[in-house]
Amino acid sequence: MTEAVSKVELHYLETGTIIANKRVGPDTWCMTVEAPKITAAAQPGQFVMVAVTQGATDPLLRRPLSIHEINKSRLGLLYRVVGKGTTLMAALPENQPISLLGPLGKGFQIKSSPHHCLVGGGLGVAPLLYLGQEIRQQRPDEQISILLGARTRSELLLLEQYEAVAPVSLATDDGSAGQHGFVTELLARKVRGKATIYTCGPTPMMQGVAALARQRNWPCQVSLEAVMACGMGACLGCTVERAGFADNDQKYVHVCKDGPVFEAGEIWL
Amino acid sequence: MAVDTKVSIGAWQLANPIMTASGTFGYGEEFQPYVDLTSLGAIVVKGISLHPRPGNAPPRVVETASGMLNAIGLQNVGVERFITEKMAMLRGLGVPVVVNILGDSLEDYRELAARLAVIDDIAAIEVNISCPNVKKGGVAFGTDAAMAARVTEAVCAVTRKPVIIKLSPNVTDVTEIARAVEAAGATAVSLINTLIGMAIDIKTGRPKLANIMGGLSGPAIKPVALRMVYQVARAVKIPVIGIGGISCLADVVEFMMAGATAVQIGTANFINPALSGALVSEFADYLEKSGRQSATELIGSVRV
Repeated sequence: MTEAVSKVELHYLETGTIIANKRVGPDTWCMTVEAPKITAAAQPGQFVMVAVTQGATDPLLRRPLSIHEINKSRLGLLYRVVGKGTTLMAALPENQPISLLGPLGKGFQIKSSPHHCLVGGGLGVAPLLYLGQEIRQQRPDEQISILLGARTRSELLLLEQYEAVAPVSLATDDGSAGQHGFVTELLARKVRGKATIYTCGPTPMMQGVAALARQRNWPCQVSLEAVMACGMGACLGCTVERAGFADNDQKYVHVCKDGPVFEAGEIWL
Repeated sequence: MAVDTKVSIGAWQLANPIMTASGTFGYGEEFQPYVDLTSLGAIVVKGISLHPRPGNAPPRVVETASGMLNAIGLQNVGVERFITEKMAMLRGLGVPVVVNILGDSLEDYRELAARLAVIDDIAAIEVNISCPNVKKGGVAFGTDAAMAARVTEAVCAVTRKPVIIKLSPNVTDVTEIARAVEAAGATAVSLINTLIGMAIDIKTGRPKLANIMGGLSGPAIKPVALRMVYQVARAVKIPVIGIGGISCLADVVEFMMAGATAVQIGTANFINPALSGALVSEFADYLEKSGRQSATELIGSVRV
């Protein structure tokens, strides 16, 4: 029952095995899961729905988490412990089975560009590592820059992983690492000429990045987060408003199926 | 295997009592990787209105203890596009399709039912008189016995398909509404729709749903649903379809013992998209292992 049918994207309900589940920053953890089917089908920017409990009804729903990294048949999930579900997730031991649904959604489109610029803030850095690795592999001759922002130095996560992909520039709100200020300012100063922007992070940051991209005529893809129940287009819960559509049935798109990655001009951030 | 899993909703015979609930199963195709749709008793598609609806502003869903609140607001493409764009695909799925309809007025319900009455391969109509998430219509019809009866009459007058009336739990006496729609000609009733609920973010001091209130579903509501199914099954002679937090085979059996002829799987589809299909085979195994010849032996078999 795992072979998907034509009209729907290829995704699987797979019981993976937890290989590692480690703290990597304040309140932030990284879980590595052996999941051969999902990793074989995944694209950068896609996500998985993780069942943090098995058979229990509270928390009830799966958690949507973007794919941070793919290493052969293993995938990495970067998550912040914010509530009951992620607290339970952080306590899961190695070798335990874990149910994943994925890979889900529409990921980043990688097209030829003289300069691929990945802009992440906070936990929004998660999907950019896998994206950077994939761009590096698909387009080895094209320039990649990674710009990461956080409130403070300790919240800049797993920097060495990003540095292994491309040159990394940093910005922190308190100036404890890199430029003192927003990552948007870094982008405005560092990137000149033609570029393609990929961004994920807090909404105000993505609004700033998208506005700058519009001014400079850079194509810009944004990766959104939303509360969702199913992750596969059935519940219609994870709505985002389309730009320039009136109050009709075209007004909303859904983060799980139409996204999570959108062209910046396609939606109201 | 000699067990007979078939059940009947009026003249309509289902291969087994496992259905999927409206608004939780898309148009079926999303679930094809996980469920052999042809094995299901039926699927109920997302509620269709006369005109397209954008649905409510986000956030539309929030998780609660053993449940979730939703205020989707009946986002749908409208009956015209449903017929032209969705029916061909639905016909190809090889499973009986129930179309859920919702109107703002009696006239809306009548017109919707009339439009769908002549479409082949729609097995039945489920009439939503109980959605808590739209400003007018819906629940207004579901909380008043006389209005519920008038909607039922309006729909039954224009179609020969089985008419299932979906009842609201947000009433003082659900059996009064059930008896009224039975007298008005309903083929069956399905219950329960969601219970109206609310959640507040204490950091912002605002409701967690943009719509302020939403419909509670999931395991949290199962005992309430089971009680109402039990009450209604004793109050009417038409078949009752049980809905509300069904998440495993034991839940299916409980609802049937309480008096349900069939059941609908709802919120549980979101957590385990393969569940409905798995329940079909688990149900047949259960009948055999429990020494029953037929699914009908289970219906209303609770000993009180």
